Amino acid sequence: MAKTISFLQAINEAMAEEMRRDSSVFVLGEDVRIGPFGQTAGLVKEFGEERVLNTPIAENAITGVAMGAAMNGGRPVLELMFCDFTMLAMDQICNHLGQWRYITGNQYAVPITIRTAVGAGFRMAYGHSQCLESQLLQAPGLILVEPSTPHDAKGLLKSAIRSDDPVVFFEHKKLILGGVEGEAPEEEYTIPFGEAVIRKEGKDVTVVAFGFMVYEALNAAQELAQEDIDIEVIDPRTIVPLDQDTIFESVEKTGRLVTVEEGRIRGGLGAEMAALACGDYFSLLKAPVQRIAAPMVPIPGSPVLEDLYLPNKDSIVRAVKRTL
Amino acid sequence: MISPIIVPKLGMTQQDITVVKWLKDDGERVDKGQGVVTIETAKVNYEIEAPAAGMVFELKKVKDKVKIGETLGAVADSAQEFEAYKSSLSQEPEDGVGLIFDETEAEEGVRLSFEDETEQETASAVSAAGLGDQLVLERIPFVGMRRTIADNLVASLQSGAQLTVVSETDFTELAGFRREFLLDHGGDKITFVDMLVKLLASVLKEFPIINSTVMGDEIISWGEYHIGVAVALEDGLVVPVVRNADQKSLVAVSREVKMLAKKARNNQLEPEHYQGGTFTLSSGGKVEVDFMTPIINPPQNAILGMGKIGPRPAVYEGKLVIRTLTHLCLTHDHRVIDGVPAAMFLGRLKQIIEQPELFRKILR
Amino acid sequence: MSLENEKLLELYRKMLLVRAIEQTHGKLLQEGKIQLMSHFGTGQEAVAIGVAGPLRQEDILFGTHRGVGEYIGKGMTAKDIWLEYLGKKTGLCKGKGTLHLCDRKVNIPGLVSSLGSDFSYAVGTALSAKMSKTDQVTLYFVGEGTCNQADAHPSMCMAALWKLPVVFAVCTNQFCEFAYMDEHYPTEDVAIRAAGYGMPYDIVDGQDIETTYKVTEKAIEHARNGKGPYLVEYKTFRMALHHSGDPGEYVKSEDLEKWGKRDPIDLCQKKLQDRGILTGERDQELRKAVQTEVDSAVEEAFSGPDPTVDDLFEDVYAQKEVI
Repeated sequence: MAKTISFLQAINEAMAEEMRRDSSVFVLGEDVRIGPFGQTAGLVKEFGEERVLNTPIAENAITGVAMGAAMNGGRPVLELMFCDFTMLAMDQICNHLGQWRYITGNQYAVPITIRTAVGAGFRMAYGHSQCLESQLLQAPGLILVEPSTPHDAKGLLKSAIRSDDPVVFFEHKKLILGGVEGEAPEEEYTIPFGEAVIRKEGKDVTVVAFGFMVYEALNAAQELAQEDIDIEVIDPRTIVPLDQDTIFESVEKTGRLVTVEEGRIRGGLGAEMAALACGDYFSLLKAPVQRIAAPMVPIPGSPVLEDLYLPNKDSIVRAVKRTL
Repeated sequence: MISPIIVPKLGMTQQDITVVKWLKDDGERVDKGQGVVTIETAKVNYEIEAPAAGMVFELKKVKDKVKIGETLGAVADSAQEFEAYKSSLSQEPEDGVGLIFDETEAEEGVRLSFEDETEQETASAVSAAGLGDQLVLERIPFVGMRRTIADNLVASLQSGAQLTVVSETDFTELAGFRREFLLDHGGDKITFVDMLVKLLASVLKEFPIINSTVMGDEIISWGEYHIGVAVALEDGLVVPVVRNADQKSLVAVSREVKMLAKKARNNQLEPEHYQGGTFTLSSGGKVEVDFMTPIINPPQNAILGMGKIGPRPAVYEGKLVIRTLTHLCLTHDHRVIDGVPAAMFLGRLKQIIEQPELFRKILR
Repeated sequence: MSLENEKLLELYRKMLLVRAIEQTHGKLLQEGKIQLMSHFGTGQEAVAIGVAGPLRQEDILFGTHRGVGEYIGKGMTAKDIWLEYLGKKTGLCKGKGTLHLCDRKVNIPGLVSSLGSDFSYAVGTALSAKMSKTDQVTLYFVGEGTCNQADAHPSMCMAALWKLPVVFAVCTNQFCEFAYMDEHYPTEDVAIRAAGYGMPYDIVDGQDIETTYKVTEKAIEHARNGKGPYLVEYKTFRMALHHSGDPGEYVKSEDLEKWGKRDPIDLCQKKLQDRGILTGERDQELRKAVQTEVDSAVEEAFSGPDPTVDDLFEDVYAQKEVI
């Protein structure tokens, strides 16, 4: 049976279910007993303070604590409240976390899940608004997940917690705080990494959008449909591994690729896909790849400027038309 | 409410759809969208979902042959409701239903068939040979995918004049190329099969007669290069096709081969994945097969088999040394392709495999 | 503070082994037979062997980049170290870690060479031990230079805050890389920082193996008994340079002379002889046996199998493929 849940509830249920299933799973982070955005709210009531651990404000060190616990049999779910704060833990995440299995010759895995909130639009300016997913593309050994629906958030977070590889799980604030709802099965389910979903089939242009941008792309699809332009919207769901098969099977059909992300354009997720397209899949392309992403400026505090900064439906519509 | 469970239109030919397994017991409760029954067509297994929530009731049994649009069973709210539905059905004339493989009759060695007259002959041949009284270990339905494979292979052998030519080929240099490729592409793993798909697509352009089909009183050489790659399954064989392999990069071909093999193993192949091949590659690389005489995949006119690639003694630059060798085995329809072009085609493949600088040119 | 005869002899042998491994490493570098950079712990053997000695097999040890003392002390073998040092496929880390030694058999989860990131791992392993209610202890062995890394502070803070079974063993060898400690520290001691977190601490002589062993044993039992973390600072002197490329002009010769008179191996040898446990002849045999052990380990490692191109792409993820 399916039920309707919110994105927030999906995250919360995934953690609660996994904590019930496996006693080595525990949650830690700054203020997780309260849950500043609500993802971890209520967990302490069911699982006690021992398994819902409030930490000092020290992102790099608490990431290391989670890693140490994972090396010793624990399965920590670490909350780094804002994606901007993951940069304070970059030493652990990029220098060690994904590399530990390899450098120890597979003697020690570090199965931790780092959850972090991304996204602008809340007038919080440059320090609490960034989408920095692409910063982690250079680190080997990580899984990067960014769901767009409650269904996917729950299934993918459960997979992340069960994964023997370290996972960074990006939750968009508009999905957490915007009350986004969707259907999800009542019964137990997980979603494998590396399987994209085609949110809307179409024959003219392939639009690959990540996280919240999936909704902007679907809005663009509606608008373009009025002009008889039929785009295919793909939601990769995981950034690493990226489901190249689904994306380029679509490009083989359309010959046109538009990438959409909320992070900045230089060296972004779109740059990576454009490089794939121009290298291994060059013969499929009928038009230059178009990248939609944020500009190379800090996120301004002014509501007017912040709205100008963000990619949206209109920029997607324009990009699609440039490929035709 | 009655919701009939119907054989969906799977985009394949109508023949030979078989009920393989009921996933729910008769009368068991299901939710809408849960899998209830698996059917098997010539190419794939397909799980049909419950059209509604309720209790599942079966009309067709396992091994029954069915057709697209036919009713397999129904989801009903109660047994009574289903019985009423069933009796309403039996009043309707049966419309083109494939005859049913009745288990009680099967035990007596008799099987009803709607087209196959040879079966009764086979049965009598079996008994004439003195077989039939022996202890039976297992009875395996010779239907569905297994049957299609069998029919295709027999048809293939009966319709052409198949001849296999074999060439021992040195893969040592290509193995070196593969190693370099891996290092230059961030760890993208390519296999010898991937490389051969790319190579075949290119060399077939030089030998149009090999990439051909007989249609009526014409031999048609195709201007497109769609390379089938045989994938062994637990209970059969499928040949998904890499379309336009000549136009794709090696990495793209490699990813596609992997994706198709995965889909094949998960029973997810759609017709567009396996139709339209113009040439087939069959690799014995994963099993201990040194060389083979592959059977042509009709309506194609040739197929390449590849044995296990491994260290073997070889004469190289005048010395007896250990090299990485295998056999390339080209089966061709001698009606269409003479021995000389077949040998030249094989020779050209061998030449490029043994000189990776030529292979590099293909990739450019 | 005296140890049983057998125990003292065993620790002495381990100190000899550590020095033999490091001296052989230096010799191979000098002869140009290997390129592997060295960071020797000459003169600090009593600290390294003393801190690892009282640990149980199931206890966890995080060690340093300096020498092999604590690893030998915890139970790593010369053979395993050399196979890994030479980057062999059969090394502990399949040749991928080399200096970053790690050995699951003896609960050494690895080494961070950028220094200090593993401060918090030790807190994490201890946290996990406490959560799963085992009596496992984690010992974090660290130089005073690394104690200035930012993570040192929240790590000690959390260890004390959550009363975790972890011992911070600080080896103060007077140098922070290429500089004397007083260029990095406004204080003479590091240990006093523990007081800021309400953590008990000791400052002890690092040259006498009996002292280092006994005080560490006490700290470990404190942690094991649920009383929370403990910090011990061992005062010693780095007789070696920071690494094999260090010109070493900054080291004062009078310091080398002064500390050289209290070499930990010499001190232990004298104790053993004074107590009649070791004769001069037995000592020579022991040293010879230790050198033979190292030489055969090196020889075996040189002939060990090298990893291949496939190994380059393995063990990034739990599944085989690189993604």
